[in-house]
Amino acid sequence: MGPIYPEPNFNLMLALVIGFFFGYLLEHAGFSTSKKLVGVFYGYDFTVWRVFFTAAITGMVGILALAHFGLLNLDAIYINPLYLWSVIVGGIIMGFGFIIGGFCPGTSICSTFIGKIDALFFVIGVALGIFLFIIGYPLVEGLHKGSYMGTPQLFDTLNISMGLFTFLVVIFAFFTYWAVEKIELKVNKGKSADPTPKSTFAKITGFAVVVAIFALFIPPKKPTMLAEFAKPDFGKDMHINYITPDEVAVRLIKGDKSMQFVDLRLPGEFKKLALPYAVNAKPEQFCQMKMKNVFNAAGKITIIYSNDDNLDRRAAALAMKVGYEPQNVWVLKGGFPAFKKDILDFKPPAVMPANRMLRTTYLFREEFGPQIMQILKNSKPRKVVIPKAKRALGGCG
Amino acid sequence: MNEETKYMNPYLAGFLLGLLIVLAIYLNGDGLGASGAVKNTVIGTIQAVAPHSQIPYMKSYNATHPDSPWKTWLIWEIIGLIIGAFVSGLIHNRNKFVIEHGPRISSKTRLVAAVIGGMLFGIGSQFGRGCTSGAGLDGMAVFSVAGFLVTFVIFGTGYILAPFFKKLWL
Repeated sequence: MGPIYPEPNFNLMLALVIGFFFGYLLEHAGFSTSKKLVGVFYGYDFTVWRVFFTAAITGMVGILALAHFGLLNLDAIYINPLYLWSVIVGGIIMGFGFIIGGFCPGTSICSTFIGKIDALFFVIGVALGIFLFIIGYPLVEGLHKGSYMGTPQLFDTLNISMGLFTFLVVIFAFFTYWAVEKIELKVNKGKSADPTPKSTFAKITGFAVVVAIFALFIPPKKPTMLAEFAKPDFGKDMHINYITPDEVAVRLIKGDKSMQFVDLRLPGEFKKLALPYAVNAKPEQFCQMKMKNVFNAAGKITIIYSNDDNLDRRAAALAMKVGYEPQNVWVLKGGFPAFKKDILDFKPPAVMPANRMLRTTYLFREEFGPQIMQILKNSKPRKVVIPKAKRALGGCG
Repeated sequence: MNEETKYMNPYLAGFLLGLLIVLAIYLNGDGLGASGAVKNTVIGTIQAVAPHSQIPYMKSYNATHPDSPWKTWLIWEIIGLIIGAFVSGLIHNRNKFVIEHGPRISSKTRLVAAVIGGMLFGIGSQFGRGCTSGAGLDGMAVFSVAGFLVTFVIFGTGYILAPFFKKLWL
């Protein structure tokens, strides 16, 4: 199952070959002249639109088909992370760059090497821009790293299947091809920039519609992570971060806001008493939007607990396997029972131990136990994540 | 034969480009890119000029990237891209030194605009975590919200601005 990750040196050879075709195609598609590229903004030449959109839908159908036939593990491929404001600001700046400079980075490099001096200046500009970004990074780090929303995929966000989404995008693409042709004819007074003969375009459209319908019926084969999760030894070989009840207690007393809790117990138990602002959920729900927001919250660690050590470990392993940052996923050592026994209901032994460390711990527990109980009681209301019918969990795409 | 018909059919070019992205993802789980390679070049150059740079970004980069920025997939891909573009230009007789500019501006204005545009694209690509290729095209191929969003914003901004920069092009 792909990705196959070729041997490193051979991989660089493949990069060279893939790059060769990338460059050849960009150049031969007409992307090596800014006149053709900006045509898309002035309506006289939509070649960029046609090539770009066709590449995107081909890519989508290809990825979907590979996943369906079990040739590609969708959990292992790179999904562009969404840093909402950073992406929007970046897109706007790039939009300015595009209309002022007339290229984008890839096309400018292509054009430079067929002799376009203006493209060379653009490439120099790109390098300068990146250099400025590196120098000025401390000023913009907040924006760059902020508003992280995980790696959502649009079909999930729209709550439709991957196949239906692909179908809709393909149909939409061909609708736009028809529309941009109309615009070209108007702007160029009866002349289209598309050399495709009408009959050929009809055939291409027919083919695309067939492919789009086909896409509806090829659901991606997702690794059945939940079946794995159900096995008692799931995650045994993984490194799990444990945090002790005492550490949690100390941080609660200090008013540390960087901890958030996921309570896996039954809703009844959860409603009676839970750690501050815990979210009650089942591991099966870890990919729901609500839980994504919890696990992906910036600058926070998520501490999982229940009444069952084995469940806690498997849940933490699942959270890491579906793509949440391993360093942010923690397990409360001993679960809620340990927290209750050691902190909330702590009874100091009749004779204080000689060990100083242990004695300090006991004194802390004795002194602050009631206060922590108060913190827990004050932290209502408590939310239960509503279970939602969902396809088999294979990764939080 | 006129100028335009010499180019490849756009749907065929797009189809082949899409297949290339699928192939890249099948091999390495990641698609094509361009701004990333320029970034590696910039970082590699900074490392060569100032190996112990105190620039905060470089310090954290050097700490988290023990390997050379040169011997990377993206750099080799871009070397391939350069060769590919050159070969295509050669075959189709398009290789010649020229400064292309709109009819209403001078070559000098065009070059200044190109540098400014490039700088903006360079900066924007860092916020967007990729340019039209790595963030937009690959991002859409893997269905990512970020990919669709960045494509929409880049082109949307371009359309909003187009009337104001008409003089550069028309």
